Amino acid sequence: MEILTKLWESILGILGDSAFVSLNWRNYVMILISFLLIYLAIRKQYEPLVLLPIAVGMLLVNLCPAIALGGSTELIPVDVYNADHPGEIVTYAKTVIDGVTYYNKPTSGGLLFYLYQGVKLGIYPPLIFLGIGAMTDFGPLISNPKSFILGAAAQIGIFITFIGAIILGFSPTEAGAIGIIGGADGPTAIYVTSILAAELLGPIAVAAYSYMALVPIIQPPIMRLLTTKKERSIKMTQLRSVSKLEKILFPIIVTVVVALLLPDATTLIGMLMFGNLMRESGVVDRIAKTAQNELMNIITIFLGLSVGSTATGQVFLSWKTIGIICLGLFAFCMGTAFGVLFGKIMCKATGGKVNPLIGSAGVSAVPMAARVSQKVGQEENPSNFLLMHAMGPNVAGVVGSAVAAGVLISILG
Amino acid sequence: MLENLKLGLAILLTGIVIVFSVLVLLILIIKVYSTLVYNAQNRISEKNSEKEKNEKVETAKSEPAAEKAEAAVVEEEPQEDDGTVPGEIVAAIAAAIEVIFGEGSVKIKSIKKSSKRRSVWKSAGVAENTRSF
Repeated sequence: MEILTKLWESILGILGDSAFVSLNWRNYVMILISFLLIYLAIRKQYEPLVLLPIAVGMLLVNLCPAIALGGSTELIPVDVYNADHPGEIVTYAKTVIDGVTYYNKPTSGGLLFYLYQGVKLGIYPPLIFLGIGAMTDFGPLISNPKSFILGAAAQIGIFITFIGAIILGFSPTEAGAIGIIGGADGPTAIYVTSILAAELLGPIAVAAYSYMALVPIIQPPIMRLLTTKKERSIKMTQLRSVSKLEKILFPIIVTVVVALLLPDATTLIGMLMFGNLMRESGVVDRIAKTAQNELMNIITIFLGLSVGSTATGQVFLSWKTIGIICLGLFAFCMGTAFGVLFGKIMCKATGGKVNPLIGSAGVSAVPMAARVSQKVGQEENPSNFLLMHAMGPNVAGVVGSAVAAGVLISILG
Repeated sequence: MLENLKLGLAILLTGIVIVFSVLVLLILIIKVYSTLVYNAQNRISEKNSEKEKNEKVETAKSEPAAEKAEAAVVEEEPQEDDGTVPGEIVAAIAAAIEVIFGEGSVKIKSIKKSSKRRSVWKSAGVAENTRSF
C-alpha cells in the first residue's frame, strides 16, 4: 500500500512539474509560431541557417522556460544540509530567517542562459562579422568606390524608421533598435539591439532575418516602381581589375578611418576588416578558412538558439512585436527605395552609365540583394550582367550599416 | 513625445550626415590610394619589361648563331605548353560568346592565347574593343 502511495505521489509530483501545468496559452501560441518558422526554414528555405536555430530556440524556451533562466540561490536549512552532507566543509553564505539559519546554495542556470551571454555581452555579432569579412571580396567596391554612396543611401531608411517608431510611442532606444532592421543586416541588428533594447531582441532578430529572407519578394516591386524600363536596361561597363596590394590595403585603411571617426563602430568594422585582411593577405589561409566556415557555423548555432530563446510568449505576443514587424518592413522598403533613388541620381550624373537597379543592393543582405538587382536587370535585358556591379553597393551596405549602428550607439547607448 | 520627436529629427540628420561623410571620405581615400598603387605598379612593370628587353638584346648580340638556334628550339617547347588553353577556359569563353551572340549563331574555330606582355598600344586597342562587354 505504501509503495502504491509513493508511486501516486511521484506521478503527481512529475505532473505538477510538467509543462502542462506551468505553461500558459502564450507559450502554446509561440510553440505554433516556432513550428511555422521551422516549416519556413525547411520547406521554403528562408534563411534556414539562421531561422532553424532561432525556431528551435523559440520552441525549447516555450516548452521549458527554465532552459533560458539564469542561476539562482536555493535556501537550505543548515541542519538539514549538514545531515545530508556529513563531514563536508561548507563555504556557502548563510542567511537567518525567523531564527532559522539557511545556506545560500547557488544553482546553475539553463543552457540557453549561458549561450545568451554571448549575445548580451556583444560577442557573437562581431565574430559573425569576422566570418563575413573572410568571405567577402571587396574588389567590386574598390574598383568602383562610388558604390559607397549607394551603400550610404540605403541606410537612410534606418533613420526615417527611427522617427516612425518614436511617433508610434517607442522609446528612443527601442526606436534605434527597430530602425536598424532597415540595414538588413542580422548581426548588426542583434548587436545594436543587445546594447540599446535587449528586451526586444527576439522580435527584432526574427523580423530582421525574415525580411532578409524575403528580399527577392520585397525589393523587385519597389525597384520597378521607381525606375523606367530604359533605366533598367542600362548596361554597365566592365569593372577594372583590382590588384592584390589594393585589396590588402583596403581593410587596414577602412578600419583606421572608421575607428578614428566613429569609435563605436570599431568592434563591428574592426572584425569585418580583420576577417577580410586574413582572406586577402593570403598568408593565413588556415585561420581564414576557420573564420568563414567552422567558427561562423558554431557562432550561427549559438546566436540562433540564444536569440530564439528570448522569444518567450510573454515578450513576443504583444502589440510591440506587431509594431516592430510593421516598422521593420517599412525600414526595409525605405532602404531599398533610397538606394534606387540615389542610383537614379548617379545614373543622371554619369550620363546614363549607372543602372539604378544596383542601388537596391545598398541594403546589406549579402549577396541576396545583389542577386535581385541582377535578376531584375536581366528581366529587361537578358544580356545585362549587373551582379558584380551590384556587389559594390552590397558590400558597401555592410560597412554603411555598421557605421549607422555606431552612430545610433554613440547617441543613444 | 515632442522631445523624443526633436531627438528623432536630430538623429535623422546626424545619422545621414555622419554616414555619408564617413563613406564619402572612404571614397576619396580609396581613389587616392588606388591611383597611387596603380601608378607605382605600372612604373615597376614598365621598368621590368624594359630590363628584360635590354637583356634580350644583349644576349642576342653576344650569342653565336648556332647557339641562338638551339635556344630557340628549347624555348619553343614551354611556349607550346603555355599556349594550350585549358578546357574550362574554352568552355567559359564559348559560353560567354553564346550568351552575347545567341545560341548556335557563331562557330568557334580556334582560341589562341595572346602574348602576356602587350604593348601599351595593343592594350589600348583590346580595352577599346572589349569595352562594350
